[in-house]
Parts: sequence; structure tokens; C-alpha cells
Amino acid sequence: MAQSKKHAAEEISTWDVLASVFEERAENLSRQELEAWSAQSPRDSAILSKLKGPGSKLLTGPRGSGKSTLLRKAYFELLEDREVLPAYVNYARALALEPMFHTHANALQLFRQWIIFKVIDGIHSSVLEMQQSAPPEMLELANYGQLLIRSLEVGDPPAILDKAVSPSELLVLLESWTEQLGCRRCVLLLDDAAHAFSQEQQQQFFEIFRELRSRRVSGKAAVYPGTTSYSPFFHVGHEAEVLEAWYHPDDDSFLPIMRSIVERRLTPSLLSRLEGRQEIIDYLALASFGLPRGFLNMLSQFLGVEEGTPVQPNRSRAVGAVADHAESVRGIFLALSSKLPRFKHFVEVGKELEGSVIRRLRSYNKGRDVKQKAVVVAIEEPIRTELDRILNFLEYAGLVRKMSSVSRGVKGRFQRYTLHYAIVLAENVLSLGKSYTLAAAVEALRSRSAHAFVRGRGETFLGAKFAERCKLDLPPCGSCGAPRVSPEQRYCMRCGAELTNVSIYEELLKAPIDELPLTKSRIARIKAHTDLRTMQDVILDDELQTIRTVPYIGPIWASRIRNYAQEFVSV
Amino acid sequence: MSRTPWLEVNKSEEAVRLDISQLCSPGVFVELSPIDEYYSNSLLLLLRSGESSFSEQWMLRLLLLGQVSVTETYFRRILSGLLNVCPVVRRTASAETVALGAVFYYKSEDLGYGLIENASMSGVKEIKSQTQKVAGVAIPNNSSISAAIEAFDKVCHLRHATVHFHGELSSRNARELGIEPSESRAVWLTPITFQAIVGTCHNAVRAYNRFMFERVLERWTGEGLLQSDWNEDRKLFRPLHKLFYSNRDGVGIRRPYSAYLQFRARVLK
Repeated sequence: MAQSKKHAAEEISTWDVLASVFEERAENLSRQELEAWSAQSPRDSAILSKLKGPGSKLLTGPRGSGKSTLLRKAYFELLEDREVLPAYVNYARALALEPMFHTHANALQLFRQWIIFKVIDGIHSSVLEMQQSAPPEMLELANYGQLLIRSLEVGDPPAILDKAVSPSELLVLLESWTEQLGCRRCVLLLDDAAHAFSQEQQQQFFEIFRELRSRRVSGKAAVYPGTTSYSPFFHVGHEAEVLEAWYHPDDDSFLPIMRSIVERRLTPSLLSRLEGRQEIIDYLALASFGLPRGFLNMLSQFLGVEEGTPVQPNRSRAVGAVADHAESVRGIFLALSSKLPRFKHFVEVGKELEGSVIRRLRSYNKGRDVKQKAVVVAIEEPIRTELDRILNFLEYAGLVRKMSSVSRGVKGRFQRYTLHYAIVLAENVLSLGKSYTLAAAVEALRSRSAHAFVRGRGETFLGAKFAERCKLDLPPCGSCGAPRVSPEQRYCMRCGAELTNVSIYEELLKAPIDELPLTKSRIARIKAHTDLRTMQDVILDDELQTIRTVPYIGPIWASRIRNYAQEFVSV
Repeated sequence: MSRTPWLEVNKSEEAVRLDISQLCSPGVFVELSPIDEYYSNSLLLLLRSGESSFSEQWMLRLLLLGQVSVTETYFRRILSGLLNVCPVVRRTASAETVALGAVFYYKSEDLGYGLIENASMSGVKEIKSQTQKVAGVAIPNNSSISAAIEAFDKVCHLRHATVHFHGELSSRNARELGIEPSESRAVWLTPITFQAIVGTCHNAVRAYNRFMFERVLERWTGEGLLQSDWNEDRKLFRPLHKLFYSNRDGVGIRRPYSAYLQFRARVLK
């Protein structure tokens, strides 16, 4: 018995170490791991150069596209450089401040101060990393800021804000500190910026971002495509240059980059299991659709890291990993129903759109030569507002990638979208037949026509009256059941009762752990061995003690599961 | 001596008689806390705003006037009420003067109204100054209460425009509302935007109610006015709780005694 327990513990330890290799989130990698494990293409170098340079930039891309990796790399390189004062600030916890908007009239003011003091805290951390002495004013503000940030993030805002720093004051401070520390410039690397779904909060963020620039100070913010609301005075492109973090899977350099990631991350023993199986790496890389996090996720599943026991990597496992990944990408889109409950019907129609696009593409591709196949859908412009919103959501989730629009002369102008390759493969959109080889799938994706697409109006894909289905889901009056007439309505028109607007964050905390991106068996094991049932339970699990009692969950997996829960309620 | 006008431009004025007795009736005593009275009056306005007969601009503007009026009334009720229930407020206000006529006009328990009858409560400056003058309480900047009252101040500017300029904003109104002075603007309401105004007023009332209740209790605790014994403390606590508690909101503890026990356990110990 003692022997088998020891053996199990050793197994957990081995697989936990392997799990760390597949850690997808750049924020959770150490500097050494980041440098050792992430590959860098010429394109990445060009983006890094812009991130480290002057001028405001917006780094755009869906989840897992490498935005945090690029920002963190820029940060570490600037730290090394010592000529520029960098600050890396992560705003992923923005949603934790959302309940405050339901209890405090000055929530917007407090939110602004949270944004500003996180920058001050970030600068202070950099100064410590550079092993320099922080100017007294910076120290004082950073100490105050840390307490304020913590109190806001745990839902205990101060009754009175003792110190408030305006964006223009912050700019003056940053310039002064840059000079005092002997640096030429100051670069603010703002990660997960403006990811809170409140339009008002996003606009606040960009108003501040817009002011944080001068000859010496520049800000770079990571944003999601499709769902970011800029303030009325912030003109994208003019106020900040847009950089795309998302790799293009059609680029010639894409597959070599992905192969390089594999070589950097995997141990020799794991690499040996992939020897002679390059088509699998390419298959998974293409299925990731240019998103390294997805690639690592699928690779991890393919090699059986999650299961904790050695597995035989084969075609079936690769296909299974891609199918699961397609489901998880869909899951991000479908989760919008929980995070933005009033757009529930839009998400439902979006799901129909995906299905319709898949069927049309499959039908188009049937019987066509490999070089003529299509993975792009083109929607005729002008696109109806409702459909535009759905497409923005799909783009945010990474399910589609927006391309340039094209003109077909008298036939009209069309906005093009590429469908996620994991879905293309999982649903056999390329119509490759029943048992195609992985090499054939890779070849089909690599040599498909860049100009072929299926096209139509929104009605072509969704039916004539689809817009009627895109109604905001506004719960009726809780007192008399009268329907709401407008999303801005605060009181029932019939009985005057106050219409409740629940805190999204608090609702997300109550979400069941079944919504975590884990295999069913792992979730079943957590439920069988613990009483962890909601996201909140996982997040509040002190020192991860409870979750570590589950068989085959060691410290690294426990930490990863908590990260998943935090990610679920963060963005 | 008057003379015949050189030129007529409109009809002549005439003798009119305004029978005030036909225009006034005895006041109605309301057995509700000021916040619940506020909610009750505001609800009437809210329900009217949803009716099609009230969809015209001038009707909605009238409702705006009514909404600000019931909000102002709340502030007056609370400050006057505090004079009856809080010895510290009585002490603070005892240095203020009241017109002799007010002493004859108001009942003794309503004399507080005499203190504030000439003051406007439609604006952040006025609310802060009257709260300081009558209750000796300073409303701090950079707080939830100040943000709530500052938002109410904007509603007051809309009301000002409605009362004095038939809805047109003056340059001062525009400046205070943060509107670019490039063109003249007027108040324009819909049932939904009227709801936003009601929400702003609700916010100010709720924030003020919570804030003042806590400040009074804080002061009583600080000055040792509470003995941690219900038999002694109920003379002060019960009327205070009754003044501030909202049955309509129904949060916290409804019964004064139970609320006192929780307060004692958490604060007085």
C-alpha cells in the first residue's frame, strides 16, 4: 500500500512537471521560461520593436493569440535595456470591481483610480526589479495604491478616497520619475486592457490611455477585436497604431514558428514520441488557427498530459484533440450568454450562423479540387446591426477572423471572415472524405484557394426574419411580469417596481465548475472527491488544499484549475 | 396720473381676484419615514410617465419638476426630523435663528422646517451647506454620497431650466452640465430618460439616508450617548431608526430592537 501510494505521488509529480511545460498563459510563466519556451518570428520581432518604441499602440487579438507573451517579452527586454522605464500592468481583474457599480455612486471615480494606481504600482515593481531606489513620492503613492487596489478588488472600497491622481497628474509623475531614474522614455504595457464588458468602463480606460502620452511616455494596450468600445474622443488608428498579435496560419513562417515552439518546450523524451510525425505537429498547429495557446492545449491533450498516464500518440488522438479544441472555442463564444445575459439570443443566432456557414462551405467544397476549396465566408455589405454584433462576438471568441472586404462589382461589396481551422477540421468543412490522412488535411489547408469563399447576405445564412430573433433578453418585471421595453429601462412601466440588474461578476462566481475547460472525467473526479461546485468555491480554496485532495491533481494542475476559474470570472 | 395709451398692442389687463382659500387645504400628515414618503410620491410620478397621455414634452417636464420637488422634500423632512431625534443636532442648530412667524405657524415638532424654509435644497451646494448648518455634518468629497448628490445637482439644473426658461438651458446650466456652449440647448425628455432622472434622485436619497444614519450613530457612540442598555438607549435609538428605516426597501432589520442588538454587538460591544 505504501509502495503504491509512493508510486502514485511520483506519477503526479512527473505529470505535473509536464503540465507546467504546457502552461499556456504567458502571465504565469517566469522570465526564463518565457524566453526559453516562446519562439520569435521576424514578425514578432517587428511587433516587439513597436511595443518597446515610442507612440501609442493597440495590440489586438483574441484569447491565446500571444498578446501577453509579446507584452511580457517587451517588458523583460526593456528591463534588461535599462534606458527605458517600463511597466507591465494586467487589468484582468476589472470585472471584480463590477459589483461596486451596484453599491457605490462614485464607482466610476474609484474605477479610474484603480486604473491609475495599477500603473503606479507597475512602475514601482519595475524600479524594484531594476534594483533602483524608488523616488519617495513613488513609494508613498505605490504603498497607498496597493492598499486601494486590494480593497477595490475584494469588494471593500474605501468610504472616502483620500488620494486621487488624475491622468494628467500621472503623466507629469511618470515624466518626472523617468528623468529621476536616468531613463530616456517610459513605456506602459497594459495587458487585458478594457476587457471589462461594461462599455462605460472601457470608455473610461481609453480616455485615460489617450492622456498618457507625451514625448517621453507612451502606452501600449492589449485589446480584444470586435467587442472593444472606445471613448467618443478616441479615434483608433489616429490616437494609436493598431498591431495584430494574431499569427496568420497562411503565412509561410507560421508552421516553422509552431514547430520551433514544440522544440523549445518539450523535453527530449516527449519530443522523441513525435519523431517522424511532423504532420501531426502541423495538423495541430493549423488547427490552432494562429493561436499558440490553443496549439499548446491540443498538444498537451494529444500527448495525454491531462490523463496522467503514458498514451500512444496516434491519428485518432490528434483528431480528438482538435475536436475538443473546436468545442472549447465554441464554448468561449457560448459563454457570452452568461457574461452578457442580455445578448443571449444573439449568441443563439450566432450558433445558427456558425452551423449554416459550415453547411454552405461543406457543400461548396464537395467534389472540388484541393486548390479550389474555401474556408472563408463573405457577408454582403451593408451588414445589419444585429448581424454585425454577432460577428463581433464571434471575432472576440476567435471563432472567425475578420479579413479585408472585397468588391464583386455590381454584385456588391462583401466583408470576409475566415472560419476557425479547428472547426473546419472537426466538421470536415473541406469535404475530404471519410478517412483522410492528417497530411492530406494539412495539404488541403495550405493549398486552398485564397480567393474562394461562399457569399451571401445575412438572410442567406439565417433566413429572412433572423433580425427578429436578435432581441435583447431583458428579464420582465419581477413584481408584475410586465415586459421591458428598453435596455435602459430602470422601472416597470406598469407597476413602477425597480427592475433588478444583477451584478455579472457575482453571477459568474456562482457558475458551476462544469463550465471550466476541463475534461468531463476530471470534473467528475473533482465533484466525487470534494465539495467544490462553483467558480467561487475554486477561487476561495485556501492554498488550493481542497482541490489537491483529488487524485492526479498536483500543485501545478491545482494552480491551473484555479487560473481557469479566475479567467472565467475575469473577462 | 395715468393717461390713455398712445397705441394699443394687446388687450388691457383687468382686476382679478385670486381666492387663496380655494387654492389651499390643510396639510396631510403622513405616517411614513421620509424615505418611504419620498418613494411613495416618486412612484406616482413614475407611473404617470409611462402613460401615453403624459408623453408630450411639457407633461414630462412637469413630472421632472415634481420629481425634484419630492426629492427636496425628503431632505427637508430628514433635517427637520433630526432636530427631533438627535440631541447633538439640536445642540448644533440651537445657535441658528428662526423667524418669529415660524414659531407661531409650525407645531413644535415641525419647527425644524422653520429653520430651513428659506433655503433651497435643489443643488449640491445647498444640500451640503444646510446639512452642515443644521446637523453639523460635513459631506466629504470623493465619496459615494458626494457623487450621488453631485449627480442630483445636474437634475436640478434641468429643473431650473424647466422652471425659469420653459426648458431652455441657460449658459450657466449648460456649463454645469458639461455641455459644449456651441449652441443653445433645451431639456428634452422621454419616459426612459425620465426614469434615469428618477434613478438619480433615488440614488441621492438612498446615499444621504444611509450616510446620515451612520453619521448620527457614529456621533452618539463617540460622545457616549449610548449606554449599551436597551432600556436606556431606546429613547434615542427607536425614533432614529423609525426616521431612517425604509419598509419599502426592506433591507437590514425592520424592528428597532433587533436592529439595536445587531448594532450593539458590532459597535458598542
